[in-house]
This record gives sequence, C-alpha cells and structure tokens, in this order.
Amino acid sequence: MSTSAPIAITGMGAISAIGEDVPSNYRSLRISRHGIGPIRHLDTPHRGRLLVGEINMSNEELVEQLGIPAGEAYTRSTLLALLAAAEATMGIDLNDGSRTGLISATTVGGMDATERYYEDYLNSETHRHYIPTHPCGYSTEQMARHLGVTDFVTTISTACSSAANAIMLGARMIKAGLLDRVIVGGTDCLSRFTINGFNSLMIYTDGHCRPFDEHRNGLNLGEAAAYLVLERAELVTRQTKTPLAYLSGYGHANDAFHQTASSEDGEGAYLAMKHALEVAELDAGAISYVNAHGTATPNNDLAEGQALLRVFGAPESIPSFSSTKAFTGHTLAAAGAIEAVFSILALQHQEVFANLNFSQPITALGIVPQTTLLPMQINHVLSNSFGFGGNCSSLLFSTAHD
Amino acid sequence: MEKQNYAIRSYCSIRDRSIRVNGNNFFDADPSAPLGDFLKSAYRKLGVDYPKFHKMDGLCKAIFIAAELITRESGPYEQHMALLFANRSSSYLSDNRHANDVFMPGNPVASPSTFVYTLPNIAMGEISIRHQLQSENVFFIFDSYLPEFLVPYANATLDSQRFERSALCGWTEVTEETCDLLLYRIGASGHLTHSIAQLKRLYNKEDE
Amino acid sequence: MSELTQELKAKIIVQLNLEDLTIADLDDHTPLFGDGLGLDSIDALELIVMLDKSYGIKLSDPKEGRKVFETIQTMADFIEANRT
Repeated sequence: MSTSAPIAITGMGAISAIGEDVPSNYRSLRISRHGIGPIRHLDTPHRGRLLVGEINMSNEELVEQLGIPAGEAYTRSTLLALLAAAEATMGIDLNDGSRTGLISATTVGGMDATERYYEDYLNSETHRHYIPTHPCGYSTEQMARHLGVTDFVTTISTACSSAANAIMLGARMIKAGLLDRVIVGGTDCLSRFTINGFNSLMIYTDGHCRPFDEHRNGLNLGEAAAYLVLERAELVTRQTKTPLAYLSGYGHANDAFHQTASSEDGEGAYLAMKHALEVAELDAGAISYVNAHGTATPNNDLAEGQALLRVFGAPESIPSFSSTKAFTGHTLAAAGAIEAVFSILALQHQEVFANLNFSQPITALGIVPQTTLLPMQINHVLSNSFGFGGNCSSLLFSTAHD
Repeated sequence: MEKQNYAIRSYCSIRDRSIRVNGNNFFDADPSAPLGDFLKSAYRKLGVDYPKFHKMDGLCKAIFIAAELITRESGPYEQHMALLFANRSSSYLSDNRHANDVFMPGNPVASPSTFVYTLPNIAMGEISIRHQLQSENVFFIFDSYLPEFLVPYANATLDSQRFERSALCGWTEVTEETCDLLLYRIGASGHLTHSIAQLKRLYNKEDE
Repeated sequence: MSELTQELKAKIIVQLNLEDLTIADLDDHTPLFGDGLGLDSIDALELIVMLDKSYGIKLSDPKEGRKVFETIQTMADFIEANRT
C-alpha cells in the first residue's frame, strides 16, 4: 500500500466559542469576529478576571438541543462532542457494512461534573448517576453508543496535541487496512480543575491573547468539540462523493526538552512538520497556509516561529500563517480538531484566516502573521498542535478540487 | 506493506514490590512497604544521578526505573524509538493530588509541579528528555492490559519506521499503593518473539 | 536573618523535592537557577506559590521572580522587606 495515498475527509462538525456548527464558525472567521470574553457559565473564583472562549450554551440547552432524556448523566464535554459528531456524520450511513471506528480525544473527561457533584456523592443519591462519567474513556463510549459505532472505539489523551493524534491514528488505521471509516476529533469543556492548574503555571494573559506578537504574555483558555469523518479514498470514489478535503500527511515527534516548555529551536515542532511533509511527499514550498499552534505564550510562539523558519528557510519563504486561538481560545484536547476544521474551511473557501491582536513581530524572528482575511489559492495547509510532555503533532490537509 | 516478525530485546516488570529484568531479580522489598519508598530505594539501587527523579509522580518514577534497567541490559535507545504505553488509570495519582489541592474549600492553591503531571503523556516526555528521544509517542487507556491491540499496533508502527526498527512498549498501571508494570523493548532481533502469546506469558509471570 | 534562611532552606527542600540535599548542602549565596542548583521554570512557579502560602507575598509577574529567587539570601531579603 502506497504511503502517499491520501485519506478522504467526508464529514466535519464543530462547536466553539465562535459558532455552534461549522457554517457559523466559518462566518465568524470570515469577519474576524472572536469569541473571547468573560466567563459566564462556569462557576469559578476566576470569573471576573479571566477572559475565555466559552460556548454560550448552558448544559441544559445542550441537552435540549440533542433531545436527550432528562435525568441521564452527560457531562459538558460529552454534550459538546455529541453535537459536533452529529454534524460530522450527517448524511453518512454508518451502518453500510464498512468497518467504522471512533477515536475521540479529551483531557477533561467528566471532570466538570465531578467537581460539581463530588461532595454531594457522599451525602445524597441525587447525582450519583454521574459517577461513571468521570473517566475520559466514558465520554467516548457514550458517543459510540449514540452513533452506533462498535468496530473500534478508543480515547487519546495527550494534552494539547490529543485531537491531532486522534486524527493521525485514524488515518493510520485506515492505511493499515484495519478500518474503512473513522470518526476522529476531540472535545474539552472549561473546568475548575484545568483553570486552576493553568493558573498555577502563570500562563494566562489578563486580556486577549496576542499570538506571535512581541508583547504576547499568555493564553486564553477555551472550550470546543470538533470531529472529522475519514474514509479510505477508494470507498469515496466508489460512492462518487467529493470529499471535503484530503489528509495527505501527518507527523509526530517528541521535543525531549521539558515537561511544559518547548526547546528554543523548536526541535519537536520542526521534526513533526518535516515528517508531515515527507508522508505527503511534498516540498515545503507546496504549503500555502500554516494554521499555527500559536497559543500566544512567550515560549511557544518563539519556539514554533523558530521551527517555521527551519522548515521554510527564511522569513520571506514562510507561507501565510495565523493562529486562530485568538478567536476560540486554547481548546486543549479539541484544539487539533477545531483547527483541522478551520484548515479544511481555508481549503474549501480559498481563504487564510486572520491572526488577531497582532501589532509587532517577535524581534528575535522577524516573521509576520497574516492579520486580515486573505483570499488566495491554497492547495495544502499545515496545522500544528503541540502538547505538554513535548508531544508535537502536525497535520497536512490538501484540497479536493483540481 | 512489509510484514516482519519482531522480537522482544529486553523487558522489565515491576509488581508486588519486586523488580525483575529479563526474568531476573533486580530488587525486592517487603510487600507492605509503601510504594513511594519502594521506588525511591530502587532508584538509589540504580545508582543514577538524576535529581529530577524526585520531582516525578509515581507513574513517571516507575516508568523511569524500568526504562533505565532496559537500556542497561540492551544498549542505548535509538533517537527515533517509538514509545507506546497504555494503562487503566491514566495519570490518576497526580489528578487526585491536584483535585485535592484545588477543591479544598476556602483556599484552593494549585501546585504547578503537581498539575504538570496530570497527563499520562508527561511520563513519555520524561523518558524522552532522559534518553533524548525525539520519536513519536502514544498513550492508550484500556480496562486492562491488551496485547491483542498493542502487538499489531506496535508492529504497524515498526513497519512504518525508516531506520532501525525500534519501540518501547508497556502496560504501566500505577495507583497509590499498587504498581502493575511491564515494559518491553522491541526490534528486529531479540531472544523472544514479539507476539500476543509471548506477552501474555510475560505478563502472567510465566517466565519465572 | 539566619533563622529565615534556615527556614527557607528546609521549605525549599520539601517544596521542590530536593531529596538528595540537606540544609547543610545549601549555601546562602549559591545561584538557585542556571549553573548553581539547576532549578527550572516549574520550580520557579512553585517558589511563587510558596511565597504566597507561607509569607503572604503575591508575585504577579513570573519575571519579577528571577531577581527575587537568585539565591537563598535574596529570597530572605525580599521576604523580610515584604512579608504580611
């Protein structure tokens, strides 16, 4: 089997702070309307201080939209995932005899329910039906039951690169002949566990994050869920469907430097991007847009910027690039997936989305992101997601149109 | 796709306060010894100078020790050696500690060094830093040790590697007082076949 | 002053898991970061938490920490000047 045979993407779904489905996400990207604001739904002492990318729907509203019977235990991450997965699989017959898998990524799992109800569990029975929802894998299993997927179900949890790794694993399983179709992506909702934890790392900005800006000083957290449907290319041709795009490359490497900081020369990021290009059998010059990890921390953007310079050669050779985290916030385990959706939208609409809140290039790098919406010809997009533990992943998407 | 048989070059198990490498005893302690003390003593017996060991949580410490023993037995790790780990409880030890810190009524104070470990892949990061590995890594969560999945997955990973085929795989389930760990290095050659049956044997301690 | 430096040494050993060291091993003027004790960015954050929890001092900018945490002595001086 040729390693360069691309994987077809036949469905996608997303919910984030800038839209409750893919079309509304796209509309926000188009007009540079971000979703970062004060915390409205989550009950935390950091309300009033931090700006986040919160989805403006309560859990009750999510339950209603999904038509889930009241009284059943679904955590927020799972509710978001169900909405996005429903959109992704709309019009696709999952019972057509193809071997179908589900690979979902999450770091929060059911923690949002646990932190709400934990003390209650010991005192009364009222919320005990939430107890099983705590582990990351449970969310995926509930999704599998809803969607009717039984052939292969697993969960990946590798911090901020989780969803990119889920997408990569899905593609490899198709290429290895183990699956014909796989629903891949990730979900993470805001939770006190995560907000407090990141706070102890002093990693937040007080205002709006400024990716790749000289004066960037931290990230905004966000919540989101997004899923893609990947299929073997021959299956798609047989059904005379046109895919939304192709996943033609992917790469993964460990930075081997520090648990939470990136190495100065962005080695892991560099290796991941290079490997993605190798798998796709493309030169760096073929890339027209890089959707960067771009968390707007002093450390990441410098390291990632260095890695871009190493991959593409010189500042003028770096293709248009932007971080969309100033729109959605850093959505952790969903980031790789929501940004995959944005990369596919870029290919479909032939537009590069803006890197918001930028005014001054990083002095040490001299590279400038794309700060406004830019219509241009795009055939190939690189999307980066780097997680704690030096876990660096890069995905390469290609246009389905000639 | 090239179908090749791979072999287990070296393996280490840490269970019931006993550490064995390739079936031979490395270190034993009283089964009632606290896990933290046991791992610290094992580290001292290793004779390695790596002060960052003490900052790690139980999951990372156990994996660190096993990875150290395996490389001593079978030589330096290749830079591209893939890391394929799995367990049931993920990073539960640190998750629990962090949750206790931040859910404390009145004055929740998170410890950054605890929070850092609330992800299972940090353990792979620690091994990567220690042995300078810039390879791919993945951490699966399963109900129990599942060679039926890990063996074909590892084989496919090795098939896709371009240089010397190499991976460090394992089941690394560590909770407050129990450690159920089997770590093994696989490659093109070794004295045991990399197969589901073989790994079940090793996991069930049939090599002793 | 030396009581505070002793106290700090004991606290640091526990807070930062410096198991291989004793109070006697820690000199008042050894650089804590870089070539001296070789602490890293997570350790710096832990020290910030310690300043708050044990001495009521809040450091909002991690860069401020670099000067404060240069040595045990600079930490003790800072705490004496700012403790609540």
